[in-house]
Amino acid sequence: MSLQEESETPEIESGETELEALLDDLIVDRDDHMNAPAFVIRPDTVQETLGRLKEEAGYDHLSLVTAEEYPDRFESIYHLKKFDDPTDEVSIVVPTDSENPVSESAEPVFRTADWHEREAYDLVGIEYDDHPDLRRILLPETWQGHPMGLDYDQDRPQMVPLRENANPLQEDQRAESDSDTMFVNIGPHHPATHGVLHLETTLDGEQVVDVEPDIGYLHRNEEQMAQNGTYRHQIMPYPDRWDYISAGLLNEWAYARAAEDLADIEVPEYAQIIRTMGAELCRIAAHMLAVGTFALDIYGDFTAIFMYAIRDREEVQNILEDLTGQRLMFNYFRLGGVVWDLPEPREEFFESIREFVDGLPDRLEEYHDLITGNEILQMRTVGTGILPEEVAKNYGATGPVARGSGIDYDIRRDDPYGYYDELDWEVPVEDGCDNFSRLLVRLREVEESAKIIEQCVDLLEDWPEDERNIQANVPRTLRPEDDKEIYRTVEGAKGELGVYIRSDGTEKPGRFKIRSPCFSNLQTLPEMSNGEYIPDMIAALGSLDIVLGEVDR
Amino acid sequence: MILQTESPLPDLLADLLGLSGSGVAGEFVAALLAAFIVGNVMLAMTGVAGPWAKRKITAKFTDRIAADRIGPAGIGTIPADALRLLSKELIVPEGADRPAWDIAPLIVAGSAMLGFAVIPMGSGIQLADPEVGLAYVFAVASIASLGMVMAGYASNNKYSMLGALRAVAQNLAYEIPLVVTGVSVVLFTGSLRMSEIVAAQQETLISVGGLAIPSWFAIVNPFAFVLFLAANVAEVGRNPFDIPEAPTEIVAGFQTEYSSVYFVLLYLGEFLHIFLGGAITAVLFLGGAAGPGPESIGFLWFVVKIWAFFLLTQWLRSAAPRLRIDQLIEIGWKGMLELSFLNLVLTAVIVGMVA
Amino acid sequence: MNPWIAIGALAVVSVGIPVAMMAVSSLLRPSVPEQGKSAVYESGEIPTGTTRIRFNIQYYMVALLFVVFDIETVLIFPWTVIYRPALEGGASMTEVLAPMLVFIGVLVVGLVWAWRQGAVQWVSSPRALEEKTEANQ
Repeated sequence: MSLQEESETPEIESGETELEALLDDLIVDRDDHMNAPAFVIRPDTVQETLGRLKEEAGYDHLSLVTAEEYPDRFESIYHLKKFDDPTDEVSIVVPTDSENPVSESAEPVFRTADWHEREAYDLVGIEYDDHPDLRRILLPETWQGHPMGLDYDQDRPQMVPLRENANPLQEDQRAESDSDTMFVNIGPHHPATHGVLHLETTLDGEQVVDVEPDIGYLHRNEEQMAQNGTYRHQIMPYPDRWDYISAGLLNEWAYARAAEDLADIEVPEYAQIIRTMGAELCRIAAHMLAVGTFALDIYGDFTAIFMYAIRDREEVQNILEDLTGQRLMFNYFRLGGVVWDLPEPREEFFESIREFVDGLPDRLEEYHDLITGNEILQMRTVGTGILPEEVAKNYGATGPVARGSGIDYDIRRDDPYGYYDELDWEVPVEDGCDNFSRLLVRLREVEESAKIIEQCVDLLEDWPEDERNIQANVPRTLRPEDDKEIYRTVEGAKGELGVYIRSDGTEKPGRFKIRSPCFSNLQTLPEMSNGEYIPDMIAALGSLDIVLGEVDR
Repeated sequence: MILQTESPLPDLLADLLGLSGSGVAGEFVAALLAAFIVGNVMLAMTGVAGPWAKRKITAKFTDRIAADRIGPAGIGTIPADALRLLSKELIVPEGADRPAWDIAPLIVAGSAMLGFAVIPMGSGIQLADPEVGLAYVFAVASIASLGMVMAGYASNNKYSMLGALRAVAQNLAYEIPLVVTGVSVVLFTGSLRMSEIVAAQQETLISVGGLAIPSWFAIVNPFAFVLFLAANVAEVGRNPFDIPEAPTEIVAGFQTEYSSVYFVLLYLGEFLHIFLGGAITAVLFLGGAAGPGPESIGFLWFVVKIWAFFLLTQWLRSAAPRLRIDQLIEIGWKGMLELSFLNLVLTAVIVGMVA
Repeated sequence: MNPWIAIGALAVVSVGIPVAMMAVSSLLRPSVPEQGKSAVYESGEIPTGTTRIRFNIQYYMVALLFVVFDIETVLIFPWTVIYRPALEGGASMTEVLAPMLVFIGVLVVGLVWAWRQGAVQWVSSPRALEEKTEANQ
């Protein structure tokens, strides 16, 4: 990893001077991160700064907003990237004083900042001026205190009453003759919300006039849990619990990548190949479930497709179980490699993978016959749940959702890690922007993942026995030097999964922040389903493929 | 051959029990007895279908085993489930429109059962054979949507309300194509009487190598058969037309708030409805109870045919996506309605040529 | 025997069996009234507002058309019954078929008119369409 960084350094530097020139009057200070230059600005110039970076410098992707309280100040960090080139990053640091933590909102520039800033307000306590709707997002509205603030009292009793939700359009009855709107709660206990999601839906007849996702039912503050664990071993189990739909290895990689770059650990090539293979197996398993549950939403509860998808996912899980010893919570990655080598006898293991991969084209053919080739399904999904490309970018949508909207963006290819850049595969992109495109992208990604796995197996088979180095030498206790900051992303099953770590000189992270792709993707739901019929909203939700464990963290 | 009477089964019973001479009262007792037999036969069939066959069939489609704990092949699930469902607590939702909420399950279950009155089930099992049999059965079968609307509206639940309104919309979409396609059969028979519709299908259409192909209307007019099947699946509210229930959208639609015996009745009504749909299809297009072998086993053939229709609905449930309600309206009015009129005129022309 | 006696008997049975089931069930089932249980189900949230509102029936025009067409369908019934006997009785095809063709023709013209008026479809809610993203782009 560090090799790559070095080769890219000159480019970044030439960009930096341009950025400095662009933001000349706004920059107060520099506070560079390991992954990107970072400029400190005043809290009342956030919109101006981000606006310039977006319009003039082309930083069109607000990947993450990190907030933190220091003894002397609050700080919001805006991690910006380009959809065309995610390695071209810049961070904007906005300190506010601790007495009156008010900062200008970035929402008018990047729509995605809406939820990210609400989360910052909720957990850390920074207030954002000019924010359209600054309410708590993960915690109940009646919660007292901000759990990630420094003076938060963990023992304080909290009262969370169950109250009636309000219809936002209650007063919007223009004329006497107009019909009423109907407010319906869809979820948290509903067959189609894929977990505990609550959609506050306002209907006019069968059509959705307004929908607002209400999240946080599965919030565990994984960030704080990670902050209480040591780098070396205690954090790695947590990522398995973010996107728990068998995408575990992909999540672990997000932490591994950030922490390895932070502590400057080189991963042996052999371990990288195993990681790549395992991660792609996870991707297949995750996409199988996504396709299966999407079919549930469109077909009804007893569709055969769901069972078929689960059957195929089961085979992947068998392989993953052989590899990691676990079916869901793998905990297989270690900083500097993986925990153990491929299972013995290796031939048998390779044989089982090959068998699965060779059988996959026929199965995918079957899925295409059953799903994408079905005319009723096409009637239902083509042209519904439209997410135009610009809107998707504005919301920071990534993964299959972005690729279904014609955004050619895949971290595996654009910001390579692991062994991806050595392998031959493609990034499927569809420009239909609708539910059907997102479904198609997932099915085609399964194909590509199978290609990657096949190549990995070829490589692993021929790997000389005495060079099978599965872990680098990592010190027993990792203590990255004080105040190093890094933000690294990987391509998770649902999109760009990132981890921001600030070290504080101890063996535990000072700040651990997760960029959840589902969190940003779910934010686009109103854009996709406002004005559509209820069934199409359900389909759009299914096509987003959210996992609430990752949305709520 | 079918008895030359307008109410075959009750007359048979009256003769057997010696009630034929005892006036209207005796006739009514015989009729009640016959009705009880017919009602329980259908109930038994839904009893098998609902808790057991449905699960087994879906399991076959999805490579599973399903019920196998109690009795051979899990058949003991049927009494166990019946007892379980009947002994559940009845929970009345707040603000329910009481008499309507209670009557709705009766209407849904009762109307479907009432449809079987005129169905000739073979082996002489037919309760009544009035001159307007076909019109009667269509009329009775569509009463069920009234029950659904009552159930949905009276539940005071938003999902139920949406389901009820969808049930109405669905009814609007398929009812006319269904009836118009159904009466195209009458052009051949010249009678609405069910026994005559069946009788008209017994003649041999053509003989292929000694194998006599009967003139079942499904063979004579396959176009009408397909059209009728599609409309019929919509009538019984199964995939791809299970829009009023649509579990992933509106939880359980009109039946969301029902529990205990009321839920059983709604469920039962739906299954009875599927079988009634199968029975109408069998009578109109598949030669009723006709089949190889002696006439006395006609009932078996009839059961085979209605179960075939049941199988079709379960197959569709495993394989067909659900339509959206506005799409159903458009398909109904901009496609099926025109096709059913076209079918009517074409059938009339063909009958005119042949006759 | 009059078939309607038999049908009436089945009507009694088809009400009787469900009522009997209700009776059996009321003997078997427990009753543990609790305030939370009887709340209307809205995915676990407390229901907002009432269900009895002026709901936007988006298929209102279709329903009106349905009334018309349903009655026409009833009028087709007698024709289908006499059609074949009339032909066999010696009437020419034009005599029996032509009037019905005219009748269906009128219906179809009416349907085409309604179709072109946009009445034979779900009426989109303007309030909802305003919220559509792609419309506002």
